[in-house]
Amino acid sequence: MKALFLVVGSITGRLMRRRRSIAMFFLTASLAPLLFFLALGRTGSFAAEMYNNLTFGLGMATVYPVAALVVSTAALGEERKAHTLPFLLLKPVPRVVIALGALIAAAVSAFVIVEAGVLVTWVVAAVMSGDWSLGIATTVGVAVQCVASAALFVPLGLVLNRATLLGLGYLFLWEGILSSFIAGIQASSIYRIVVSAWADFASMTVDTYDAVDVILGRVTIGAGGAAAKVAVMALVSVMLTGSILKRRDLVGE
Amino acid sequence: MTAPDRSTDALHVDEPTVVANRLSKWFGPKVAVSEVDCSFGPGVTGLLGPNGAGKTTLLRVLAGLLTPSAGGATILGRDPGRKPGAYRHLGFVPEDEAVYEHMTARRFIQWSAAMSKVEDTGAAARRALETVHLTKDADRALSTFSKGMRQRAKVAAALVHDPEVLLLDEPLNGTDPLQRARLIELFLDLGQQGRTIIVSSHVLAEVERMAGRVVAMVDGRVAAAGTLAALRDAMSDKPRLIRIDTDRPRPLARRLLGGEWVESVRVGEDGIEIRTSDARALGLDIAAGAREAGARITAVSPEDESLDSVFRYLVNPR
Repeated sequence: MKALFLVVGSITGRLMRRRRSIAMFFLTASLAPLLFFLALGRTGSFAAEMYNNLTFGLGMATVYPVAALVVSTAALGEERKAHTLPFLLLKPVPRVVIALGALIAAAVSAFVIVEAGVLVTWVVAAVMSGDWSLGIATTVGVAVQCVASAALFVPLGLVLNRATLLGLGYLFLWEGILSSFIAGIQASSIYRIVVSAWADFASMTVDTYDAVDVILGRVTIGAGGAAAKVAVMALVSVMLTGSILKRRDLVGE
Repeated sequence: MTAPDRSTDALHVDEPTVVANRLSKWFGPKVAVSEVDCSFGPGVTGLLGPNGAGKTTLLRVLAGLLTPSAGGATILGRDPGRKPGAYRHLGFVPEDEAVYEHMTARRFIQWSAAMSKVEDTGAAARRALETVHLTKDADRALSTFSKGMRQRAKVAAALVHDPEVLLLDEPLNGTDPLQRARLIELFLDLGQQGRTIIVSSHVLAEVERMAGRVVAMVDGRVAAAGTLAALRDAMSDKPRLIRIDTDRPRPLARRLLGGEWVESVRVGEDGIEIRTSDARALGLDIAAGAREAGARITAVSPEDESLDSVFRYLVNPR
């Protein structure tokens, strides 16, 4: 257990470095000024609805996954590129513990960074609508998003030099286009899993609910189901990352 | 079938702690290490060879960072790549300059100690920092360290759990002369304590100062192994090109040509270049030759003493 905390601590310390954290914070907080200008001079209920629409339509579809992707691919990918991987690997610690530590570090770091931006938007929405509970659903969705992104992109970052670019392609093609048109793959769409968790806690208008229903397609609303899916993803990811780390040839010549 | 007796073989030691067993490693079509079959025991062993000889790859395979393409390697009887528990007994200093830049030196070393399951990490880190003379800078971020200081921090991190085997990949790179001398002293001391220290270097003089035994690599293969004296003997018949700077090149060249060890002479305006089969004999003859030729010698220097040329000769004398 101590080794796990040490791995999480060292990777989190690197992932939370100032420049990346600030850049990702500004990216995720960019919804706040957008909301402010869109809802300025309108009613509180309009501000609340606009916040929800921005959250699931832009935040959870693009902004939050991109931020989580950037952090997750860096968890072990940066260790490999910076040649610091031997410091982790040459320790009497099972590789699966290193893999689990990297996943936790990526998920926690991504959550802290994304949630900081969410908080700013949450405050703007709460001030304009008078409803301070709006951000709770977003926080649940972001938590699911960060674990799912970590599960998918930590192993990808470990084996690929251009994992972030590939991840962006995945977000655009798979999440953005293919899963919108092919009903059969909607259950595996992280975006839909995240929205299904968010919608379980969000207080939505009928219009918003209809829009969410269209997006979810075959996926049913429910935080429990979403949590179960990301838990399975995390488990598979840890086993996969552990197995890649055991294969060893990660440090090159 | 009986196992070959390796005790008298220069490639093997009597009580091996680190063993490479017909070890090969290739990356696609490139063979980095080819059928290396040798062992290492307590004391300091220099892993010597020019850049690209395969030293780093060999150390990484020994440490379990790379999977061998053929053959195998063990440290204290175990393959650390398969049994991470072996890392309790192994310290490794990678060649790369990289460190955890977000940590201070003390935190990095304490973290390494804790990861290696050392109980009193604070005391162990203090000792390791003292050993490499980094106590004064212990609380500075590693990102502010010079290359030499990073090397020392990495050595401290590799030593902090008191390992029996230490693999050091070019550990003296970037260190200043004083620190280099101190690190060499430290490695010698650790070797005398009975630990197995394998130090790679492409600088013959460095290895000469610290290693009792040398394993020389060229093109991924072991070219020679044994004591430095044995290695020198192996190289003694290599033709050498020697340059002599003198004010009277022609008379001196004429005089030295008489020696049977001189293969050819090229005369320039202010000196001569001699190709010799016995540099030692030539060296002994130069002073007498200069006296007889009335020449004043200002410099004598080997022209082809690069490690690369020496080792290539060891692999292919012709």
